Amino acid sequence: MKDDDLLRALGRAAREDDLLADPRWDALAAGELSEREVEALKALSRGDPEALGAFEAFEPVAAEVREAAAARARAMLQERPVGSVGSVGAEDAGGARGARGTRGARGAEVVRLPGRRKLLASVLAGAAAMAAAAVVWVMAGSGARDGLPVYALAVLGGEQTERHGGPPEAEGPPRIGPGSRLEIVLRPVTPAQVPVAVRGFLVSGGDVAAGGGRPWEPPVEISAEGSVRIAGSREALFPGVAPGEITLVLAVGRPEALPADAARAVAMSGAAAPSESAAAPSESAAVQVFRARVTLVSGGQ
Amino acid sequence: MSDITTDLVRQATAGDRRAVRALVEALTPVIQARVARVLLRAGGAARGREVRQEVGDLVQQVFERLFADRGATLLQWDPARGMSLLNFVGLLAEREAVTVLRSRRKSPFTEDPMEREDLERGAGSGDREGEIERLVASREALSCLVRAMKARLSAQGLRMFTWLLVEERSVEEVCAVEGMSADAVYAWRSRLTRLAREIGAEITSDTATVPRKPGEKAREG
Repeated sequence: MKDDDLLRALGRAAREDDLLADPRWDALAAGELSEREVEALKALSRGDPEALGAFEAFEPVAAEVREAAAARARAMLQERPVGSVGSVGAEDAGGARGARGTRGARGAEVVRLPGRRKLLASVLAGAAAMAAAAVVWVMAGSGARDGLPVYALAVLGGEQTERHGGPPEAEGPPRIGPGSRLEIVLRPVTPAQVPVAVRGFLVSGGDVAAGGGRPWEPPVEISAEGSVRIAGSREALFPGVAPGEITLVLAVGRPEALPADAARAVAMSGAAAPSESAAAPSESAAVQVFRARVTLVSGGQ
Repeated sequence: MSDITTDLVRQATAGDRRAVRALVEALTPVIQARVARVLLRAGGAARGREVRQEVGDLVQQVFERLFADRGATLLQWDPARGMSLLNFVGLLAEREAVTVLRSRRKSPFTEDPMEREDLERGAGSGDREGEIERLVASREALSCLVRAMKARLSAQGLRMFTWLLVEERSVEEVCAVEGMSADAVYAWRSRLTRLAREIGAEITSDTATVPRKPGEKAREG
């Protein structure tokens, strides 16, 4: 018997016994199966650990994962390429990459994120805890400077009632009602090489140019890699804050370089109009400032 | 999926938010499916790992690679070369998953350096003429042969078995996913063939030496 014939026969036999060779798994991941077909796969997975594992692996990834992937993509696209001329020196950018990245012969580079799994888990856990659909509101910071990596901001939470397919920036601020949870994550593209702190300010009315912001002191978690997480209920995060639109101004960076007051933070965040969701580059090399709008709604709204 | 164009890729890598979002939406299913198969075949789920979380992490990791250096990897895709973007990205996803599996030091499925030696040693044990044909003609015996092969293969051997035999991938694709030369892939193909013949010979030999009870008929292939 020829080798080719033998291998073909083996492949044919292996496919017949291979659960994963079923093209329905691909269709499941693509969301192309009818409810009836999904139910059939679910039934297949009952009592069969292998099929159950497959169902979990191929069930479409959560919208939050796709949102996070898009946010990170945008943040990475804003990184200055090695050797570029600009406010971030080529040497600095190359050094940052050299410290944490791997550059292969294919020309592409993978920036390793040791804390990504834990952070993603926390984001997903937070999202899963929300009763309503989650809104992700993402902004990205400017290039890495002085050991401070590029940060991306994700805001999850709110009470959107319809599934949204468009970009998050087109869907308005998350609406936070009584009992709603909100999670804000400031995530470095690479682990921070310097001590990092965060300072927040709250500007009522959403018009940061009008001034009048005040310190915002919610519970904050900062990981060893510089990831910042603010999470809690409406009541825990915004005690005593009246319903209406507010702008959260968050400065992340070296502790000694953080803005002392809201006016300074707003000034550092640049001249972006309050309606813009894209983060403006911070003026300081040691601080990045982000804005996020949310709308606090009363129970009846 | 047919609306993925080079224009969309260029817009996305130029930082267009809507294009980035559209590309992520379009590519996520193929990335998910490719990494899920690699992980599941490596036995991740059976090890109690949170396979869904692992798949989600890998999906993000693949996007990181695609968009790193201002989308340098994405921009390498050229439809004129005949490969669709989905397959291009799918291969990248598989390679990323394979890399992750290889990096797991404590995995019981880490590469087994003895495998090559074992397989080379078995090179001379060919089947007697006609025996392998009879074995292959029996669905049950063929399944038995497949199971026995899988049981003897290392993690890498299992992947090569899947790529070459189960999914009938081209040598070029296997090179891309496993990061090996064409010669190395052909060598694996030869090893798998030798292993199949060796185990086939063992099976037929065992069948031939089993004492029959009086009155029992020999089972014909």
